[in-house]
Amino acid sequence: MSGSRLIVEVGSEEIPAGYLAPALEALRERLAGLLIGAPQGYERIEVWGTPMRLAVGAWGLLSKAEDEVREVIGPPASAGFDAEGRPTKAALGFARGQGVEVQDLTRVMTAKGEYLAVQRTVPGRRAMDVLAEQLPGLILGLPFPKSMRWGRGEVTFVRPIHWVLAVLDGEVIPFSLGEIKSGEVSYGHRFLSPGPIAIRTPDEYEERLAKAQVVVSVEKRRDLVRREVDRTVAERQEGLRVLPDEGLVAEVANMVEQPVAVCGRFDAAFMELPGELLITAMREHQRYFAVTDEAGRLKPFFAAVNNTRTRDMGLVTLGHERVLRARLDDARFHFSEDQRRPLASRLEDLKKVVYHALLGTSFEKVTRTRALAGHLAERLAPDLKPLVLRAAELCKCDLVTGVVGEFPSLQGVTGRILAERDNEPAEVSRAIEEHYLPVRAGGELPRSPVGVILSLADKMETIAGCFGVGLSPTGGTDPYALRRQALGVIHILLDQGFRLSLGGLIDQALAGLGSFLTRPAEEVRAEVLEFFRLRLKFHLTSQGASTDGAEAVLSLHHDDILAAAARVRALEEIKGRPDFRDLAVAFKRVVNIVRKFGEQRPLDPFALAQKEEKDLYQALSEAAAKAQDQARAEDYAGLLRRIAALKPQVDRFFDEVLVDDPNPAVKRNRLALLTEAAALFAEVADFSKIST
Amino acid sequence: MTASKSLTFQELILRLHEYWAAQGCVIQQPYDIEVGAGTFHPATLLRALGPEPWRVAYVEPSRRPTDGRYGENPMRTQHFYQYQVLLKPSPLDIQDRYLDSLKSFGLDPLDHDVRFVEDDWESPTLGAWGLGWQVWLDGMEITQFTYFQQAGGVELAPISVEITYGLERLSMYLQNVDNMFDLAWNEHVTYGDVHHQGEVEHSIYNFEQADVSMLLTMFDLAEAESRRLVEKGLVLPAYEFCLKCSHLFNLLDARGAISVTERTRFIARVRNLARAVALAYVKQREDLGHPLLGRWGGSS
Repeated sequence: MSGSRLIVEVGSEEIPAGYLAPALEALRERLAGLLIGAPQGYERIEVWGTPMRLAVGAWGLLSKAEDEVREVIGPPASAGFDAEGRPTKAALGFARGQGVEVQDLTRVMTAKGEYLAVQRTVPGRRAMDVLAEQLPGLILGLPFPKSMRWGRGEVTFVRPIHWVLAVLDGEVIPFSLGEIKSGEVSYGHRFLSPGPIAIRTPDEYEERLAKAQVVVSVEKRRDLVRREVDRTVAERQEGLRVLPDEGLVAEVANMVEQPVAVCGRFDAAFMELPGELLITAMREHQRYFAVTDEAGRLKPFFAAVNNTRTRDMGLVTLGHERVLRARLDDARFHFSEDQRRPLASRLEDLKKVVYHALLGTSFEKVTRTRALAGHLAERLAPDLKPLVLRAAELCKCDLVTGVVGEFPSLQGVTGRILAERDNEPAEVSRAIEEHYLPVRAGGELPRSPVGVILSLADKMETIAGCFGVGLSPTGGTDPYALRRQALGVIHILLDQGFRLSLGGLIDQALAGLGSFLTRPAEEVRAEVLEFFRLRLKFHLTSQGASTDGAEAVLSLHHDDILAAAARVRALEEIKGRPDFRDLAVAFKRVVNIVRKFGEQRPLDPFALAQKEEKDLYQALSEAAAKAQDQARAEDYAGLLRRIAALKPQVDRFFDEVLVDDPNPAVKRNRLALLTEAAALFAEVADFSKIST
Repeated sequence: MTASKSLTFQELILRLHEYWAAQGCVIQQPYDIEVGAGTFHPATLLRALGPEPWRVAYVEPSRRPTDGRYGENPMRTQHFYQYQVLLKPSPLDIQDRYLDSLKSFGLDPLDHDVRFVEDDWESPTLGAWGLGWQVWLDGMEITQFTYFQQAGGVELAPISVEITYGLERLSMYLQNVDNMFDLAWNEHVTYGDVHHQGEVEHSIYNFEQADVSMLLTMFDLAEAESRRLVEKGLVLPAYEFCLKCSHLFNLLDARGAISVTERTRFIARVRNLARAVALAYVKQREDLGHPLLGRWGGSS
């Protein structure tokens, strides 16, 4: 690879694991943007990062950008010289202003005629200068969720900066970040190889740091973490396996520079605790991996990933075992305390928990969810109503348990386990856990009928409540995860094939809010419906529907989500056909005319005189009769085909018939005919929204 | 754990005193008012304000009434000790200095996995927050390490670094015991001999006996007094009454006497006091001409 090579590394105190990936991505993008704009260009950029360093290498830069010739246009050529060909004041002034002689002026042809001009050469900038000027801002501007100051407090960064390595083609790029001056030196592992290392090129960066016990590639550290935990667990005892946990691999990999795993064990007496609790206690407090046998059954072992290879890893293992014992003791304490009273008795405790200052206590939230769930059960599964109501009462009771206080991620799971131990009906226990599903977009959905109903009710209540008191998501912020919950409702409805009126459900939820509602219900209803429309559009387009197709369908109505989705599918199908474009143009014409002159009803068929309008009426009447049956049967594809079959009649109508007839009665009746046509199309979609 | 195994609880404190004294710290003494953490000591919270340099280390008995377990939990108590260090401005090599302090009582990073794990700190009652880590020793949290960004609602410059060692945790590790009451305080007496009875009695008091209406009255009185004193420019007495409010609030909380909505209001009341004191302190130091500027060989 030719061209200049750049290596930059910022050494800092330990950067939070979750901050690393977005910062490295920004580093890559911003350097690329800088190089393209400079314009030094680049052939390849690579980023590396550990808790103690953010680094970027770039290859194939221009060490000096090419000179740029810029043309400055002056007065018209005709005004520049007099009849004798002598330069006028205009030409002289322009030349002087540009610092050139009159004879250096050139002539250029523009759209407005011939003009005088100057060609100026702007020398390209040196990469060294551009980088020295731009890197400080680029580095200090990297995005972190939280930044800080230190020492005298001049500089803000994620953590205190200790060194900056910045070398272009073997030469230091001179700049400062606060007190720290750039140099050509990096540092190795804090404990294993703490000395300075000279780095001259990006090519040697990874290898030199590896020798200094630092694995700078995030991807390689992840691989190493996987290999290390597998190794230590296999060495400990035959038949043991690490419970796969990619989220933990990613987090742990960004907490270390040199992953070294050890496998420890804990007292088998703890195995009486629920598996979820053991796994979570290890994972969330200690970032330890759980261990199973070959059949996937949990075993009393764990794998801990360290940042260093100590003189005696056995001593480190003992330390981890002691910490975990205390953690598991704590978990056991909470779990046994939680079992001292029935889960149901905690409903009363929810009266002391504020759900939201504007929306009352958790008890009030549960009461509203319960009512909405009961209403849904009556519609969808009346037999299950008693179970649904019970599950609704219990679904938030685990929020006041010790286990969930310690491990919030075990909400729902803890409720299910405690309900099982209280001998609540199996459907109720299961629903308590399932009502939180899906926990992320595309995640597992509730499956049990009681869980499905409760999940819908809980989410709709939350959404209606938040909108009802003005807590709707704005721009990038969605603190109550309402978008995810609305998408969850949509996924569940589609998954279950439930037919229900979204508007009706919103009304029911809003009614349940009673005096908590701080805004007019009609306004909130419209906002929530629109919110769902956008979520549904997002869902359908992410499933492959075109944006204009989804918009055309959803701009009409989406009260029945299932039907709306079916209409989009049907439209997408017909959109793929070769003759669709013409068809859409014809329909648009109809809709546009109706919009322009206004809808007219009723149609007087006997007043139609011209053949083409009678033909259209005839075809329309036949289609409309069948279309209604098809709409009822949700055969939207068939309906669209039927509409498509009208194209010849529509075309002939427009070719031969003048809508804007001088006779107002005739004009009105023709508009009425087109209104009928538009109404038929509107069974499926607003065709004017389709780009043709 | 070799030689360090025999280090008693009090020896650990002595080692820390010795180490941080050598770093130029003022070895101050615990504050004689109940506080929830070493941060509340005016040697930390107030000294962190303003431009003057400061270096201090002290033990702070810390009270968290809700953490009482009647002396039955091996690791959780309503009274425990923190070893608190504050360096202002934060030196760039502070992590190394901290690691050296571990070596001074026998914990060598070549023998243990010592790690700085993200943990940000915030005290809503003090209007203070900072960024930093908890320090893990083979997975055990032994220290809280924080760069203060704000205190008493006031932006800080220069920045102080606060290092808080959990003395019982650390000592349990060094002595290899699993119950803090079994710690050897010295060769003759255990931690339990010194503190167990207090844990039992205070737990009973905090959870069962504390007179709620008396505490509420005391809170109102202390709040009014703090306000009155701050207006008179008596910054330190005003701060003491602010601290009393904070502890009274904690007692009321342990007693379950504060509903959730009231809770936020109580916290805001204490924070308002802390803020008034912080602003008054900043002004007072200014009026005094920042007498500590230039100490510790600082350039200013």
